[in-house]
Amino acid sequence: MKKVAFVLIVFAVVMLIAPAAFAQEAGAKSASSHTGILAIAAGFGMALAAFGGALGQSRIGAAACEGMARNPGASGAIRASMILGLVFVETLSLLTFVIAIVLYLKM
Amino acid sequence: MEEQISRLTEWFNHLFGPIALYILHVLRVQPSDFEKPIPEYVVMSLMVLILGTVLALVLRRRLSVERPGSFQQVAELILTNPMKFGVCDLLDENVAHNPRKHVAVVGTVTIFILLSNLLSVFPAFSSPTAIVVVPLGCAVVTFLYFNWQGLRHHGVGGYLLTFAGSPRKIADWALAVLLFPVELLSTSARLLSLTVRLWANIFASDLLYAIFLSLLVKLTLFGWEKFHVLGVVLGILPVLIPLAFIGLHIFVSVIQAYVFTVLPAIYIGMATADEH
Repeated sequence: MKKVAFVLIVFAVVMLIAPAAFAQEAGAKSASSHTGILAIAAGFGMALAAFGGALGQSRIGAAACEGMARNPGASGAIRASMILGLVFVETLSLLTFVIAIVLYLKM
Repeated sequence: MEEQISRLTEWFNHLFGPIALYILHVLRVQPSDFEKPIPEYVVMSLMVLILGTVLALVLRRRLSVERPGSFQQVAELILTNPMKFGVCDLLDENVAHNPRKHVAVVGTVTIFILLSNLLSVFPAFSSPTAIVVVPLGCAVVTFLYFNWQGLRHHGVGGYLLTFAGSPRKIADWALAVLLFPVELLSTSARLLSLTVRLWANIFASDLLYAIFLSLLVKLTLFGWEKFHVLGVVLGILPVLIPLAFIGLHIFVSVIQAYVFTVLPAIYIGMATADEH
């Protein structure tokens, strides 16, 4: 009986969630002649942004870890400035993401 | 992408739609949608406003110095905490002159952003900050505020000279000509970067959740078409895995609220700093 109830709950959740998830697909798709180029541009832009951003963020993280390991007393200040640096790097990647979204909407 | 409109928004439009249409008519603004003149993010922002006001009123009745309740302690953690990322801590750290004066504006923006980021964790609500207009509003408030504080501190001429690096000697003036447009541009770009950072983070976080949910639901439906048992077994995935992204969303929300506190604090500190 418990098992049946569990299965029913799972079904109910899936049924509730599915329409919201699938509603995304029904977006307007006006075919333009540049669709392929736009898709390539958006994908490559995002890839480059992720590549550069990941390199930069990994340097920030490594430097912060090193600093904290050498001087655990200063870890609070280091963590604060690490988060700030990570956010600045992330912003540039997110700008590319915004451009990718704009390109996607133009497709 | 089509917008999903929640029941709350429909109800709100049903109640206040005509009033909103009348106001728009008086202001001579053409509403984009005559059926639903109040968009979702306005309703959600109003929800955040009501939520914040009610929480503050409840908190004010319970304030006590001798026996602080749990709610009061959580609220105090937003202002000062041992990890030094409360609103007061950040202002003390970054602003030289009278930092506690700015707690009202900066803290209001912080709490509004924190609550509105976290709103989409609850079902039937969505983050107003996932629409670009709301972060823009917060950024404009911050931008005007720190410029106003700079103008009050330095005076108009003095504040404009801080953009040129406060020149004193002839050589400084030569450099100032180069420095001034660059500084002016970079200060104006703060408006853009504040807006886009908050909006894109929350938007991407929501999008990530939706994409993973739809992928897993598709997988489940695929399994359901093969064998019904497989569908049921796979149906556990879309229930469990997106939970991780909700956790990520909560993390991102808190980090973005932190960033939107520390950056205004730094900007105010820069605008009101004295050159030595």
